[in-house]
Amino acid sequence: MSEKKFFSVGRDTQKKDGYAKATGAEIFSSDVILPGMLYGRVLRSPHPHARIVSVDTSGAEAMGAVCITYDEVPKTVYNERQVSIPEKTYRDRTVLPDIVRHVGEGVMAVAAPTESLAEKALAAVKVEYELLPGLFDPEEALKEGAPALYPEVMLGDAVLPIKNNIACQRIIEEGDLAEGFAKADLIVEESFATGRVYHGQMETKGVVCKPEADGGITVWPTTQSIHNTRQLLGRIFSIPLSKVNVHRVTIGGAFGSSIQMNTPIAICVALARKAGKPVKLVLTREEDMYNHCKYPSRIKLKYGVTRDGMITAGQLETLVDAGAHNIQVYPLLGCMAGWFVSLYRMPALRFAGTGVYTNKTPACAMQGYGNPQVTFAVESLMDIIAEKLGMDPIELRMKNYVGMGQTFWGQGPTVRSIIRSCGVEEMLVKGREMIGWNERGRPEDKTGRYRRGIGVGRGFHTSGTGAPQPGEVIDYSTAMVKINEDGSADVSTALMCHGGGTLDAIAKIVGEELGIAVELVGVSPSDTATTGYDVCTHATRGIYCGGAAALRAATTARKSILEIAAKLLDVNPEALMIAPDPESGHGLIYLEGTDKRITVGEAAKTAQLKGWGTAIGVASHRQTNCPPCFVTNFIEVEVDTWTGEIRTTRAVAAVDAGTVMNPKLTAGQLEGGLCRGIALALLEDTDYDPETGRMTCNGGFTDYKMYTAKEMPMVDDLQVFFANTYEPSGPFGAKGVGEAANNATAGAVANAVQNAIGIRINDAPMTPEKVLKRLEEAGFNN
Amino acid sequence: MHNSRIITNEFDFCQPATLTELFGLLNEPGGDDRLIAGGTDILVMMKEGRHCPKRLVSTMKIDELDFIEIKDGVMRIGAATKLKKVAAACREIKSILALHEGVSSIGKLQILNMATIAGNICTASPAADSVPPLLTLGTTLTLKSGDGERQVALEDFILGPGKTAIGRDEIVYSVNIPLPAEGVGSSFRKMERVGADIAKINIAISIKRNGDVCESCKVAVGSCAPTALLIDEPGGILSGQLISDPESDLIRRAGVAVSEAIRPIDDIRSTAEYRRKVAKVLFMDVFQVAWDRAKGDAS
Repeated sequence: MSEKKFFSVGRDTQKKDGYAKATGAEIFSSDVILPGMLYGRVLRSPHPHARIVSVDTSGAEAMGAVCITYDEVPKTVYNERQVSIPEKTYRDRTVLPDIVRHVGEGVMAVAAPTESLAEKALAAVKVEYELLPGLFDPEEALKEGAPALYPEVMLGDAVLPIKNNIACQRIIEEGDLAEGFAKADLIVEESFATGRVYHGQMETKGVVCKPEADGGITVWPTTQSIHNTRQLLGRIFSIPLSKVNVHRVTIGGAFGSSIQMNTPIAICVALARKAGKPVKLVLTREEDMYNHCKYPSRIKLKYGVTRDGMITAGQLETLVDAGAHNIQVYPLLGCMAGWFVSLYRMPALRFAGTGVYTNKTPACAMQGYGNPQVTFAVESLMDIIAEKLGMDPIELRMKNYVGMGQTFWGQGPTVRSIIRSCGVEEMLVKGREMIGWNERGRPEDKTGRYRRGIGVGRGFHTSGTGAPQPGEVIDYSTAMVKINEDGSADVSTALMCHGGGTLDAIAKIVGEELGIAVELVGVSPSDTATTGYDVCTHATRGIYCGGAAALRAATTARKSILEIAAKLLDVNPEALMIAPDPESGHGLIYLEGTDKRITVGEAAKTAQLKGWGTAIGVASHRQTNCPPCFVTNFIEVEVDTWTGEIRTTRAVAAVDAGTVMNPKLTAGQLEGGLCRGIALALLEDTDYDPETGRMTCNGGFTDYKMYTAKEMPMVDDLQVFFANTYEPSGPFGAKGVGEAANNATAGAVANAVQNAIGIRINDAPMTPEKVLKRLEEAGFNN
Repeated sequence: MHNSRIITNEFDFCQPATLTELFGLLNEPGGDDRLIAGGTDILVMMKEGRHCPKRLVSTMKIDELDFIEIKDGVMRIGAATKLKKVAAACREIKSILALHEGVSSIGKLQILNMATIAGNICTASPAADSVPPLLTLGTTLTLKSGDGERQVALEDFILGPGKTAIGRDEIVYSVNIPLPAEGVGSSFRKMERVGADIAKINIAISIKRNGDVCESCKVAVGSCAPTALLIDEPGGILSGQLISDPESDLIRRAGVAVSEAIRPIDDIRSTAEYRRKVAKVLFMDVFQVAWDRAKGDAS
């Protein structure tokens, strides 16, 4: 832990976009309006699996609508994910399909001067389908003779035949598994499941595309990566990247839903290019819900342990229902292995994962990327083992966790690093006091209709996907920092803020390095033409990876302004320091113990007048590590044994994020993550009607339910704290937070339910209907 | 896939300012009018294409339909009175707290500020949260048309999902609630997936208590049949009985009778099996609360 005092890092500061968002002044992609702009709408398949025989657009065209069909779009086979290297990217889709593979898949699209006319034009389009059999169960899909969704797809530049609807498989082994299990005194194996959860981000996916006179395009999309969007559009439409400019537009939440270049973007570009006019395409909530979801999980988990609680071997098998497209099952399986391996030490291990195609909404990354699913299983099984050994669950975790100085490969086997900061023990020790762990009691001693129980869950996420060597996943960021002539500064980066304050943190890092207040650091509007590459704001990498690039750029700018000041003050630049003036926030450059001083603004202005140039820094940087940000949840639930309803009554959420950039925002992320984690355990899922292939919730919030503040513990019963750690490889000691926030929660809830009623529920969501059935089976009576 | 942002079907929209104007419109020949009050249900249905009326006639500007008055022991609520206002008025009257609880559980503030009492009734949703409390209170409706008015009991008015006994040229004018005498306590409870939701099952009870004797007990359950049901069995079991313990087997038996009387189905919100199992529990819960409330100010 560093004793370094920071000027603005670690303090609560006003969020830069706070006023604009609170007053409605902020511009999201759905707010972008251009002269002559048309409105796009997409005709969605009512069938889960069908060949499109013909599309008659004459009715729509007679209304003045511009129409595009499969025949009129580029046939580039693409994957909306661009984060993996091409050799590991499975490609199975085109801008519009000739075969639809899930209800809600785009069939054709129209653009018209009003959305109303576009909607009417859609209604006038006639499509003839040849219906194909649908597959909705991943185990059915694997069976011999099951209908095939794809004869072949592309892997990199090679054709990959698809057998038994298997999208991809990964087997990862280390150590001697048989020997590991042979050494065990106890072998425990259980199966777990989690639901097909919808991202539920506030803003649905949207895009505006303007075709330029020179054949280029300018795009304002909802995305977490403007550069990947640009590269993929350039490839699909064969436009040089210098003529594809993608703007960063504020995004109304993401949770992973826009890691990809979302499919409506390519459709909108095709419409705009045909129309020769700007087109806006914003998904309705129903379309959005049919566009992507979280990867559901079916996990079989087995551990061998010695009598004294040391793990000797572990094995995890998983079947992942990918839905209709393989967006990123391959890297997901690598990460699921990583999440499994990096929670607890195992001398021998085996991971076997299979992704399978079905005729459902394609699954994609969502907060945690397989981590909440794996950690739910692991943390549940840890408690089961502790119970069988008669050991305190916290003690079992303390004995086995992967911590300081140990090798860790959270992002999969190709991304290994050594842990240099770790707050696991601190969080377990402090958290158990705060929740009153020792008073939690045993389920068999509890009586009455309402029973309370306390559970613990650990977890972590990696801060980005950086590694010493190039791997399967791309990870680096670029930033530019320049000092303005009044002493303020601008930072330019292609990073996104999904609402968690990433760009505020970047401004803080820059301000801290330049010795100026964060209020004087502007975050420049950003587009692909004026920023260097940044892979994507995903994988909890914004601060740790993007911040590291910004820090390096700021260091260069700082060096430059100090050299200017040194010339003016006639001293050696290495001797100079900068600190913000407490009143104005402006940087004051000074030589300690003397009256030699000049403000950053004076130095910058003088340099301008004398023609010495601008103090500027640019850095394109890859982190060689992706350290774990650890989390620990202690959760108290109350089970109504007469109705099966479960309420979360108290919670302690802790994170080891290294140096915390903005405590209130970090606390907010922990609370938000906790809320989604509780809902993963108790509520969220999308069911499909196998007759129609439709979601039973119909894609709306009337029947797709999410938790709000109302289902969370009361303010005084929800405590958040930060472990006191410092990550040496992070900017000013920081690691990530975002996804970690919800990884530990579902396991903690399951363990709390077990502690309350003595019933272990492994298949989430634990709905009242399911819980009441289990209560009855266990002899409870209402 | 429907577009929940816009209504594609074209329609006319009228906003009469008086009842006379309203009846004039409804009497126009060949009309395919739908009344719209707060619009919180019908606009959704129109977006989903479940209703495609040629003309919407709004009651929103008709001040004559926005009132709450108490006269001769009856609370009369104007049809277009917003739920927020209804909930507030019922909060002040102890014997009809069930109605306050039911009405204020409908959606959240945005819905309460738009939706109206007659709208909640006329949508005829089996899950309407105002209906079970109104049924237990013996509510009648005053229907008006250009030709006159009639009274109809609420239980005779709602015929099935989306179906009521209203005539083509009629409107609900007022919802009339006979205020119970002293010694009556009521309670409402709703089971839902999250805190602002359509009920999996909802229940209301109104108990007349005399000391420790239950003189009468009226129970209504929603979301467990095509319409909310008034269930007589608990009254049969409990009327005239000495209630020594509101958690006694007698109450449990009345709860079982509720579970047996309902006709639930499996749907997106829950299962028939679960609804049956918890109907008994909900009955016991509301009984206990209403029983305490019926005790009077001494409690």
